[in-house]
Amino acid sequence: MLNSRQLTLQQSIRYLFAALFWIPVVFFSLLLVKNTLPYFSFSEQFSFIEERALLFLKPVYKYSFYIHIFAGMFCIVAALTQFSSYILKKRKAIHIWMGKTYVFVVLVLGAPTGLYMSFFAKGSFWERTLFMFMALYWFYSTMKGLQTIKVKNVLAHKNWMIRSYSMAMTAVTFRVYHLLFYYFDVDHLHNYEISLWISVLGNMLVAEYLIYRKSKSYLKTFLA
Amino acid sequence: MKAIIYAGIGLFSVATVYGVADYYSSKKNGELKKLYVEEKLPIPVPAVEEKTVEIIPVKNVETTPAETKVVTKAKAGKKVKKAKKTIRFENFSRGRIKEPIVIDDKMVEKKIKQQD
Repeated sequence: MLNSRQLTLQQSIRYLFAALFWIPVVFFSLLLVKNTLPYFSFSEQFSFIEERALLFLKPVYKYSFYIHIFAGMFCIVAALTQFSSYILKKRKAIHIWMGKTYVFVVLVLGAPTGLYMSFFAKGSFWERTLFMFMALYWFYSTMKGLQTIKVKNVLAHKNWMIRSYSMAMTAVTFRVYHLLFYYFDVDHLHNYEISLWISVLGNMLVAEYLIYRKSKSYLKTFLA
Repeated sequence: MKAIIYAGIGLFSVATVYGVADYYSSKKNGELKKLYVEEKLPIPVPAVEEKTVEIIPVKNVETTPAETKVVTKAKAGKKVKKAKKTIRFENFSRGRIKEPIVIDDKMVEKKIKQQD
């Protein structure tokens, strides 16, 4: 049995780790939003658009792009509120409405446009396939998250939403790796491909680890 | 909520079918080959020597009709250097990060030789 001092220390360590995780997540998420907003000037003077000038001649691709970045931006901000235990306990209505909007934005806007754009993604066949997988997994995990909460399975809902959020966060982690590899002089195309793979696989692994940690005590009840 | 799921599945299917059709039509038109063509950095220009002949009229016409002056200008080509990379938050995007380039615009000039 732990005494009160040990319990306080344990709690402080837990808060410290939570802060170490959430401070960069919030910072880079907001940075992504800040850097995405200028795209809504509909100017074509961005390196991302310049590279895809030919694709932007297609109205479907152009509209898909703007819908996709709007959806992505919204999802990242909305998801930040969804993992707050304070909002979940004290302001449940915010959690429910933000959650419904998140689900709508992912299923109707973000994932379908992402899937269409993945056919023309930069990189080889494998990078395109990875983008398609991302769109599919994002869609599926969000849909499962919705279905599980409808049948009041809170634990499964949490797990599926963590998976869904991990896919939304690939936009953030990709940019972090992209900047790091750029700094270490990795050439552009390799940098793009490596950052993409690490961000997707890395986020999935982190999500599964978090799910395992959260479900550990629940899983132990089966062994007892 | 069910309506959202059905709408999502419908849109996802449309995106798949349209994506495949558009991909193959673009492939047929050869558009895919033109995509993502890498831009190359400007190559440093080697130093070039320029020779110009100037004719200087001389007052005393009787002794020498004219004096020619060969002016040699050594032009140093624009030196293109890669600047030290720094992490800037504006580069936090999926797009290509533009390499910072420093252009040295110094001109080494005026080596004047006079010739009779």
